[in-house]
Order: sequence, then structure tokens, then C-alpha cells
Amino acid sequence: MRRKFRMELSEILELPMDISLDLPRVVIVGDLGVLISNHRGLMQYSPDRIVVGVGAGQITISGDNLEIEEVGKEQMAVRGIIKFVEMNTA
Amino acid sequence: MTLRRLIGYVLGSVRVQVRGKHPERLVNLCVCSGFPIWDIALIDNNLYFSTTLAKYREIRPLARKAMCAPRIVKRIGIPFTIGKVRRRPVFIVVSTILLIVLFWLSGSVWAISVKGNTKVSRGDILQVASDNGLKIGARKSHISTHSLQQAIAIAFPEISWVYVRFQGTLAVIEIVEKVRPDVPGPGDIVAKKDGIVESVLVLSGVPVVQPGETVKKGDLLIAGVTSGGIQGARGSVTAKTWYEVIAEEPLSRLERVRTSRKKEVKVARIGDNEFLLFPLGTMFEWYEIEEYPIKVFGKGDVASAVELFTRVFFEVQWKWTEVSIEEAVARAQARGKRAIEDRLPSTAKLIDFTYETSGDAESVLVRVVASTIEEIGELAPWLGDINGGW
Repeated sequence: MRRKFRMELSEILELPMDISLDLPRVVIVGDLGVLISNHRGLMQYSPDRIVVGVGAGQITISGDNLEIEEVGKEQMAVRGIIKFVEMNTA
Repeated sequence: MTLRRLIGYVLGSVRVQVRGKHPERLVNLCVCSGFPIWDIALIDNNLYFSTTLAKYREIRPLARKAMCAPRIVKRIGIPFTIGKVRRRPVFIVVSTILLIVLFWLSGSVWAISVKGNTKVSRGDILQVASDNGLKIGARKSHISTHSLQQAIAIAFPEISWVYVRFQGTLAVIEIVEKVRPDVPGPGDIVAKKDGIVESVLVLSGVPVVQPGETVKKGDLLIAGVTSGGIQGARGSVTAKTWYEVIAEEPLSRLERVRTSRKKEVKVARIGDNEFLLFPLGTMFEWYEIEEYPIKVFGKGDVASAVELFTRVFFEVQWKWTEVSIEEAVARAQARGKRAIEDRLPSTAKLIDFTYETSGDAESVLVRVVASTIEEIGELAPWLGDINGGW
């Protein structure tokens, strides 16, 4: 109910959904890297699979030679050979 | 290099190896605590990341919390380099001394180059420079280039311009020597060829000849004055002079006459090489050649590289033909005139041509004489001590 209200409010005020609904924003740069904004932490890390927690679930990045280039409270930058990006909502 | 890595290099950063069951927890704890970490990689079940030197000590309690064991595997940045250097005091002292010595030596002159001298010897210039402080080992700050330039200019009157500059430890003395115009010394004006004097213009000296007089080559025309101060002769003497040429023209001549026979061949020229496109066969004994280009390729690189043309060989025969006396005389006169005109100096003013014709049964002889008015005076400098003073 609250989420629906927020969605309607952001539509009326023309606000970006990811800010008003506290959603993650994922930017994929070809197969070279992934930039995740508004994450909740690293859940699992191996060179072929990275699982990042987001507000309502998790994002799984599969590939080869995956490395975390930078990680901060808001953003995480992953580089390597990206093959698959999956969003799982709870 | 990203800004973070640059800051990490300036402030000092460490590469940390983390061992444990859940190294991801340490990463999350670091992020939550606001510690900057970057370049996270998992190699052989060991997690590696980079962080700043200042934050590494604060990470250790977090690692215990995450049940991980961190260990520094690499130290990067200026603070570590300074630390290494500080542990070697002799190195610092020797480096500092070397730098000071190098700086001090760079303030001295270690080589001198002299440019532009041809008459004045390099040794003389260096001697004057040395007397004024510019020598090997001298301090550049103690040398006044302005006064040195003045000293060299005064010491050598043959030098019109001098410039001294330093190029590192090399002192360069650039000079330009005076170039004096080639002015002949005083003397008399004499005739350089035979003629009848037309006019005499005396600027200095005493005229020896008058208009109308006949002079021969080498005769004195205007004499210089030696008494009451040396004064060479200057002036202009024009005279009527003659040029003579004898031209012979035969009354019969051998001429080529084309017969009606001819042969054509197509030729391709590529660069300097020629190729006959069809065989030529037996060639005439005597022939003339004419070529006509064939346009095939139009304009462009191919057209300029490959040239096609038709070469026509016209058969000729040699025949004796009679020449009339009038024609032979006219040809001889024209040839004689041309020969004289080729010999005439540019200053000579042509008056007229006269022709005398003679001859025999085989040829005519024409004597062509051209009358001109021209400058015949030339300066003959006096020899001895008077000559060359200026």
C-alpha cells in the first residue's frame, strides 16, 4: 500500500522511481563491468559469481575473472567478463 | 590511474590479504564503517584488497569480528619510499652532496665555442676572452657578457658584430667579420681596345686624349694625379670601335629529300624503357623520324606512367642542290650579323653594319663589319705602395 502510494506520488511529482522507492540502479557496461547503486552489501564473492544484496532481494552477476573495483556505502563497481546479471526479488 | 589510486599513492596504501571462511563479511564491515577499499579480488581462496595506510590498523578489529586474518602483502606509496630512504642516511647525504656539486659545477664554463671566424684566429679570440674572465672553469655569474663583447670588438677591428651567450656549461662566442667591398686602388684609365675617341668625361685626373683621336689598346686615356695628394683617374671614355666577321657560304649544298617510302611502328614507353608493339622489319639506310602520341588511358597515373605513340620513319636521300648567289650572300650576311651580335658587349651601342662580298665558283665570302660606340676605358691600378690603400 505504502509502495503503491510512493509510486503514484513519484509519478505525479515526476521523481525518479529508484530514489523515491529506494530501489537499486544497475548499469551494465557491455560485458566489461557492472555498476550497482544503492546496494546493501556483498553477500557472496567468487571469481565467477558475485551476489550483491539490494533492498528487496539480490543481484547475481555471473562471469569470469570478476573483481570488485570499488565498493562504498552507495555504490559497487564490478569488472571482469560479464556473462549474466540476474535480479531476484524476495 | 584513478583519483583514489593517486590519493592512495600519495598518502600510502597497502595491499591486504585476508584469510578466513567469510571474507565478504569483512568487506561489508569495512563498507559500513566507511573505510575506503578497492581492487577486491579472490585468488586461491584468499581475498585481496587495497586500502589506505591510515585505515589498515582500524580494520584489524573488524577482521577479528569477521573471523578473518588480514596480512599486508605489499606497501605502495610515497610514505613507504620516504621510510626506505630514511633508513639509509648515507644515501641521503651522498645524494645531497652530489646534487650540490652538480648544481655548483653547472654554474661554471666547461667549454668555449667560437663561431663565424675566418680571418681572426680562434686562439686570439680565446686569449682576449680569457683576459676578460671567460676561460674553462670560470663562474658564469662572474662573467659580464656585455663587457666581454665590447672587449672582443675593440681588440679585433676586423669584427663587425660579436655576441656571447651561455648554453648550459658551454660559452658560445658568435662573431661576424667585416666584408669589405672589392674596390680597386687608384690608377690611370687606359684603353681596353682600339677605336676613335668619341667623348671624354673626366671626374678626376688629367685627360690625355681628345675626341677624334685614334687610340690603341693599352693607350693612356685619363692620367691619375700623384702630386699634391694621391688622386686616381676616374671618368668615362667612349669610342667608336669595330667588330669584324668573315662568313663563307657554298653555292651548292647537300640536302635531305624525303622519298615517298615510310614505315610506321607502335611504341609503348614505360618509364625510360621502350617496347615495340609490332616488329619493324628491314630499315631504310637514311631516314627521318616523327612521333605522334596515341591517347588511350586519358588522364591519370596510368597515362603518365605508360605512353603510347606512333613512330614514323621517312626514307630520305641526300642530294646536291644549287644555291643562287643572292641567296648565298644573304645567308652569309645573316650568319655574320648573328656572330657579331653574339660577341657584342651589352653596353655597346650598335651603329651600322657594312658588308664586302667576294667569292669564286664554289662559294661566296662576306666580310661583315659592325660599327659600335662603347666604353673603352678601364682602370689600370698603380703598382707599389700607393696601390691598395683605402
